[in-house]
Order: sequence, then structure tokens, then C-alpha cells
Amino acid sequence: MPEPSSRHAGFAPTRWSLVLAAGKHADAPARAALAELCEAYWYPLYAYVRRRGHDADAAADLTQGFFARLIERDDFAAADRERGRFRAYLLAALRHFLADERDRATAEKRGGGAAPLSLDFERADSKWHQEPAVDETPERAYERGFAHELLDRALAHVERDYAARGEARAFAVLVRTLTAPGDAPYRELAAELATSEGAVKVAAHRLRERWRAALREEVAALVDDPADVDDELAALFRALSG
Amino acid sequence: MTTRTCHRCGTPFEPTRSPHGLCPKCLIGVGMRDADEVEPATERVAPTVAAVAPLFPELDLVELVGQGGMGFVFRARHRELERDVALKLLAREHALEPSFAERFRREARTLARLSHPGIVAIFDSGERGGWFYLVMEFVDGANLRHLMKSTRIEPKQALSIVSQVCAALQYSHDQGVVHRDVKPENVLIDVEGRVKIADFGLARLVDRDLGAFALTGSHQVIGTPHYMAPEQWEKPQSVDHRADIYALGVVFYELLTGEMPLGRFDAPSKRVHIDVRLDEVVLKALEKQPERRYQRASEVQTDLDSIARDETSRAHPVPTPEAATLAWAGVFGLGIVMLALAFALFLIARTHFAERLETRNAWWGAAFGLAAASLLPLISAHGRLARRPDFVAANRSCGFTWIDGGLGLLAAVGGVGLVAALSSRADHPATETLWITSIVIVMCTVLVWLTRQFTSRYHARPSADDAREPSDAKLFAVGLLLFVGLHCLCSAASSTAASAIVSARGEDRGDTWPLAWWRVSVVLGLPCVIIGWHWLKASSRGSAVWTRAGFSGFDFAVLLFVAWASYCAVAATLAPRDGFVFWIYALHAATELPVAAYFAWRRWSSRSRVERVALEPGLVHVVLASLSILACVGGAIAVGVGLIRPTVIAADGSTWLGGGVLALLGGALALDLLRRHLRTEGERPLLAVRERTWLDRAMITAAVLGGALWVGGWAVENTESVSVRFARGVGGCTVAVNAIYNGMRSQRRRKADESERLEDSRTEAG
Repeated sequence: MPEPSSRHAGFAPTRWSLVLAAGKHADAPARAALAELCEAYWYPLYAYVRRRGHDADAAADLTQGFFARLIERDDFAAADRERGRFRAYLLAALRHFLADERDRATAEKRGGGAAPLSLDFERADSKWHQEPAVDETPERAYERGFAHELLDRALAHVERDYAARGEARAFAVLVRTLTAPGDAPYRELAAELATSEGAVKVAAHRLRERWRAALREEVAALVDDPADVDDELAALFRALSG
Repeated sequence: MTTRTCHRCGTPFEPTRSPHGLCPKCLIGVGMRDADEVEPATERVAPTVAAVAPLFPELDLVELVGQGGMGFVFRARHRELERDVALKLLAREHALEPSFAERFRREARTLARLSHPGIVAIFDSGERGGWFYLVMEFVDGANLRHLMKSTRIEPKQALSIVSQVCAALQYSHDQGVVHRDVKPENVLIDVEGRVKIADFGLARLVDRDLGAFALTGSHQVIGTPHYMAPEQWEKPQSVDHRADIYALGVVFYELLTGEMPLGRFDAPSKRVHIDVRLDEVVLKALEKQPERRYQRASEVQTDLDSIARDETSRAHPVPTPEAATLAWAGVFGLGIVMLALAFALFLIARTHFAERLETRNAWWGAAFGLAAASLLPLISAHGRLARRPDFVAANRSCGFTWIDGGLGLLAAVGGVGLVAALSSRADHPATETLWITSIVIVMCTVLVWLTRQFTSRYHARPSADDAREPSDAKLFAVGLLLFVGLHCLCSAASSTAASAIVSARGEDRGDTWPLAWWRVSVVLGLPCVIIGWHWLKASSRGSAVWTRAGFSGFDFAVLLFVAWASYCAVAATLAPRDGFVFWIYALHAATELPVAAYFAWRRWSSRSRVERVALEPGLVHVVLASLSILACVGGAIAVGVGLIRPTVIAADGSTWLGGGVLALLGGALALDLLRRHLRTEGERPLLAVRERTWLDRAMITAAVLGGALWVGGWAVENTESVSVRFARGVGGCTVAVNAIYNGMRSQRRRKADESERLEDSRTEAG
């Protein structure tokens, strides 16, 4: 089992497998890791709850309650077969939780009173209002939201990495080439960065490699089996299609 | 809130929501694409010799010899020094980073410090025309990857290569340099077979450049990730030299098996025919946790070298037949002298102390002790003499030596003696002496011959064969033989001592059976112990029986021995405190319990080394299970009868309590068998409806044995005899149990048939 402190070392992200390995009797570092993952990916859940028709207050309440139970007890047995992938597990556990809540209809029990995560629901609400008002199933909203969060995180990683080496400007310029390597205006970019066109091409290629690595690393952190990375990427790709 | 359509994939997206206004789907697409696709060939085109040559006026560039993730390697000749060198240019993309130059200089200085015949030396480094370069020793040969692709690498070669890599790694680790990228591509082998490791520490240079992203992403940059230790994935910034040892383990595994140790991989010996001791080395190097791995590369080397030495000594013995013949002569001569002495003692005992039983027994004991001891040199020959390569080789290669002649002569003498004893009058005083002498001679001949056969056959086989784990049946046979032998020897000693004690206490009832008991014990026990022990040594390398998975055949033998010893203890406790019976049980228990305890202790203390592997149910299990069933049934009857009518079974009550012990042990054995087979049920069900399982076979065997007992019991006239009643009882009960079992089984089968028919008709109807 990896050292719990590995998430503080360099860029190694918090690993879902670490949480899984800790099992039901998770120790403090594993709980902290779970909390960290939840903090990173809570918005898609909020969006899901909103999409199911709850208003802002109820959604915030339910989301917070869900995390409280997830982090304190993690007893969503029904979601066990989904455990290999964080994305699927989170949604399955949330569904389970919502079903439970509906059955009980007692909001008092939620979270045992304590809010384990500090989640900015005001920001979430405004973000929610920016969402397209298209007809979308809650699941789809969740998947799409999840993909966005993941991309944000991975790209922020790369950006931080560049900034740490004093290449923030190069990043800001080169990032435009990321999705369109073939038809990027390298000459203009070279002029912008005051370097040769060849150097820009090399640097753009390097950025793409780093992006690819960062994205895969981020996804790898959310699946138990590293072999699932490609499947998971394909699932996210589908979620963003059409 | 504007929506844009990505002009690449045509998917609508909102630039305000997506990172940096990029199409999220395309962003993921970049991550999904294969590594090769991401890297357009145009961006890694190697510079031509003509383009590089002007930058290095001191070198004559010959050709581009290699191209990898780190850069390009040219073969060149140093003009002044007139020697071949390798020029490595680091891929230009690394140079874009401002801090790279400084780090490159620092790494190059560290590398220049390493001076070892197993490490590619660095002569020069710097930056010219935008290229960071290293001028290195040129190794005329191939890298291990090429070698593995082009030829089959023998285990012996692999051992030698890995051992050399270990030496080089240990040196660099001592210097505080961790390679971080040990893989076949970086292990060069020159035309003389010397191993040199390249690219020391360069991985760190490039790896750090890319931060943690290099880990799963870019295969070009730091090689395939399969050689990376788990901690290198988890905490890339803080790996130590043990990561190199892991990578070395991967290389070794690949060398031996041709495959990578991925997922739940097999031990190398399961895939190829190699010494099992190599498994331990490979698996220890591949431990997931660095603390459990080899801590130093030199430890790997030490282990490999000792295995290699063993192999060499066996593969290339120095055959000197004279030495071997001499050694045999010494061993054999010693044995003959001792035998002669034993015979003299025996004659003295026979003529002078014929009337005094206990004194005669003591002399006989001494004589047989000597006779047994005469064989000891042969047994120890296996331990010492037979390990000498010359001895082994001579034994194998000399064919018919004079020892064979001597053996033939001995056998002839023994045979003549036996025939003479058979044909002489039974009441003649010399007949008994002739009998015993001839038997001893024949026995010795057979033993010497067996020993010779075994030592030569065993050593003539390739080492991997005898290192293979012995089969369960063989272990049980060996164990049983050994313990029957041990028991008989204990028995002989006990009966001698018991006779002595009894006559000293004036309790001698003039029985003749103690003497018969003693003789049978000796004649049976000696060969059993000798052959059993010899087989144990020869077939299992002494301790392999204890490292076997789970419960081995040998364990059953131990259990039987423990059972017998316990039975003796119980019987001694219950027998009346006078007469031969009490003493012999007591002495038995006293001598055998420590032996049993010793074996049990060895078993217990080695349990941590035992790997869990499910045992296949074999013939041994069938026999054991049926014996267990018999013992259980018999013991239960004995207890029952003993409780209801104590007078019928035995006056002293020892039999029924002994039967209780038997019942318990038999039950425990049967239960254990059941438990273990239930656990491995996945592949072979305990109770299959269709096919015959091992339980059925055990039941059939038990039924046959029980039936024989039952019929035998009826056939005997004497119905008053306890043993006959006992046999009948046991046999009858076993048959009854069988009938019930088979009835239940056929019932199950009928039900299964019916449900299948129903299923079939439903399918047809559907």
C-alpha cells in the first residue's frame, strides 16, 4: 500500500485506490484522501441533485449530508461493485443515499450535525445558473460536470507546473495549440514568444505530451486498476459527445 | 452564455465553462490518443552526421547507432586519442528549459565520478550548437533488448549477466548514484560478454524535467513503466537505490522467462526449467515494498553466485575415477570390518549367553548396532563424499566399478547362505545363525546397491530436476518409510530395555514373543530408516518437505507417527504397572514422543515459509481418507464396546482408550481432508453428482477394506477372540456407512437427472 503521505509529494495526486485499500475501517489519512477527492468533485453531485428537481437549499443540504455520511461511515454497500471507479462509485453512492433519504424523510439525521467539508454552495448556485437550460438527464449532467472538473484539475496541474518554472506566459500562449496541433498559427505564436517557429513547435509538442500525461494521471488516480484508464477516458469522451 | 461548435470535432461547447476556452472533448481526445500518434515523426528527426560533425571537430563521426527517448547516439572516433567513442546528444526539447543546463552539468559531473568496468565511462560533456551532449565509452556489442530478441538466453547466461549488473549497481549505489532506469535497453553487452550499464542517472535528469507527468504518460521519455518499482510510481521524488533492485528483478524475470512480471505472475520456474532457488531471488527482488526487497544489489549477486557455483560444480565435475574408487574402497572396507565385528559379537552372544535372555539381547543389540553403523559411512557419503564432484562423476561415468563386483560377491554369499538355511534342518543349532547372518548380508547388499543407485541417479540428473518439489505421494512414502523405520528401531530398543527391566524386577514370565518382536523390529526398521532418510535427503534437499505448501504427504506421515506415539503413551498410562506390556509401551512413548515433538516443532517453525498452494487430491489422499474412516469407525466401536462391556474388550482398558485416540485422530484427519478440499472446491467438487470424486474413491476403498475385515472375521472360527470381534465390528460398520453414503448419493443423482430431464423437455417445448 502506498504511503498515505504520498499525496503531498510533488504532483502525485490523491489516489482513489488508497481509499479503497484502506477499506471500511479507513484510517485518518485515507479519510483525508477521500475528503480531498470529494472536495474536488462535489460540484457534479450538486448538479445532479439540482437536476433531480431539488431547490438550491435542499440540494446543498443533501450534498453536504451525503458527504458527511460518505466520509464518516462509507457504508454504501449497494455501490460496492462500482467501487473500482471513483466516478461511478460516487454516483451510485449518491443515488443510494438519496433513496435512503426519501425513505426516511428525516433531514435531522443527516450528517450527524457536523459538516465535514467546506463547500461553497453560493458559487455552486451561480455556476448552476450558468449551466445550459437544455433538457438533460441528471446522470448526464453529472457525467458532464465530472468531466469538466477533471479537465479543470488536470489543466490547472499543468499550468502550475509551467508557472513553477517561470513559463506561465509560454503556457498561456501555447495552450491554444493543445486541441488543434495541426492548424495552429505557429509563426504568430513564435512572434508572440520571441522565439523561432521550430522551437514553438517543439514546445507545443511538449505541452501536449504533458497534458496527456497529466490527464491520464488524474484519471489513473480515480480508478483502482490502472488498466481502466483508457476505458474511463472513453466514458468521459462519450459523456461530452453531442 | 454563448455556445461554440468545435471546428475539429463538431461538438458544441461553452467556452466560458470549459478550461481555457478549449473544447473539452478534444482535450480528452488528446489524452486518449496513442503515444505514437501524439508524437509526430517530424519532431524527433535525428540530426544527420553532416549536421552534427561541424560541432565536434575533435571527433570523426561514423554513423547514427541509436535513437531513443533521451536522444541520439552516434558512433565516432576520437582523432587525437584514436579510440572509438559514443556521442550522445540529448533530445533538444529538454534544452528549452532554462534550469536544464545547470542540472545537466551537475549530473554529468556525478556520472564522470563513476569508474567501474561495468559502467559506461563518460569522457566529456557540454553544450554545442544547442545540443547537450555526452562523449562516452563506445561499447562494441549489443544491448540486452537486441540480444533477447535475436537469441535465446540460457539461464546460466542470465545469471552471469544479472550478476555483473549487480556488481555495477552496487558500485554506483555506494557512490550515491541511483540509476532509476534499469532496463534491457540500458544494459550493454560487448563482444566478449562483459556487461556495461549505460545512461546512469540520466533518467533523473529527464524525469525531473517532466515532473511526475512522465510517470504514466510519455513512454518515449523514460522507457516503459514496467521496470519501475511501485514506490517510483507513488513517490517519484524520493526513490532510492532499491528501485534499481526492483528494476533488476524485472530484467531478470524477463531474461529467464521472456515475459514481463505483470499482474499476478508465475514464479519463473513455473514457466521455464530452472533451479527453484532462482525463484526466491527473483521474487525477493520484485517485492512490492522496498523494505522486503533485497536491500543491496550485492546481496542479489551473492545469492546468484552461490547458485551458479552449485550449478557449475554439478555441471562440470572433474572425473577422476581413481579417487572415487579409493573413496568407495574406504567406505566399503570400513563397513565390512564393522560387519565382521558385529558378526563376532553376535556369535559370542549366541554361544555364551544363550540362557540369559537379557544379557544375550544386550549383546545382540550391540552387534546389530555395529552392523547398522557399518552403513553410516554410506549414508553420510551422500552428505559429504557424494557431493564431491569427482566422486559423483566417477560414480556416474565409470560404469561397472569394482564396487559393483564386490556387491555382486556379497549378494552371492548372502544368497547361498539363505538357500543353505532354507535347506538345513530347522532344529539344528547352526540354522538360526545362518538365517540371521544371511539376512543381514543380503540386507546390507541391497542397501549399498540402493545407495549407489540413488547417489548416481540423483546426481546424474540435471540440477533443475532434483530441485523440483517432490510429489505428495513420494513425500508420504518417504515419510512413512522413515517413521516406520524410526518406530521399529524405537521398538527394538524398547523391547531390549523392557526385557532387561522385566527380568531385573523378577517379573519375567518366560514369554518368547518379546524376542520375536525385537527381531522383526530390527529387520524391518533398519532398512526403512536408512532408505527413508536417504530418499528424504535425495528427493527433497533435506528441508524442502517443510517448505511445501499447506499439508504435504510428509505431514501425514508425521501425523501418523504422532498418533502412534500418543497411543503408546495412553496405553502405558492405562496398562497394569508390571510386565513387559507396560514397559514396552512406556519406553515407546518415551522414545517416540520426543521424535514426534521434534518433527512437529520443525513443521511449526517452518510454517511461515510455507506458501499456500492447493493440493490436488491424489492416491495418497484417497488411501489416507479411507484409512481415516476405518480408524474413526474402529476407534468409535472400541470406545463404545469398552464403555458398555469393559470386560469383553480388554481387562486393562488400554485398548478402548487407545481406540478412542485412534478415533479422534482418524476423525481429525478425515475432517482436515474435508476442510482442505472444501476450500479448494472451486476446481474439483467434493461431492459431484456426475463424476466420481476422491471422496467416492475413498469410500470405495474403505468399503473394500471393511468388507475384507468383515468377511475375514466371519471366516475365522474363533468367535471368542477380541480381535476377530473387533474386525467384524469395524468391517460391518464401514460397509454400513458406505451403504448409507451411496444410497444418499444415488438419491442426489436421481434428483439431478430428473431436474435435467425437466430442463430438457422445457427447452424442447420452448
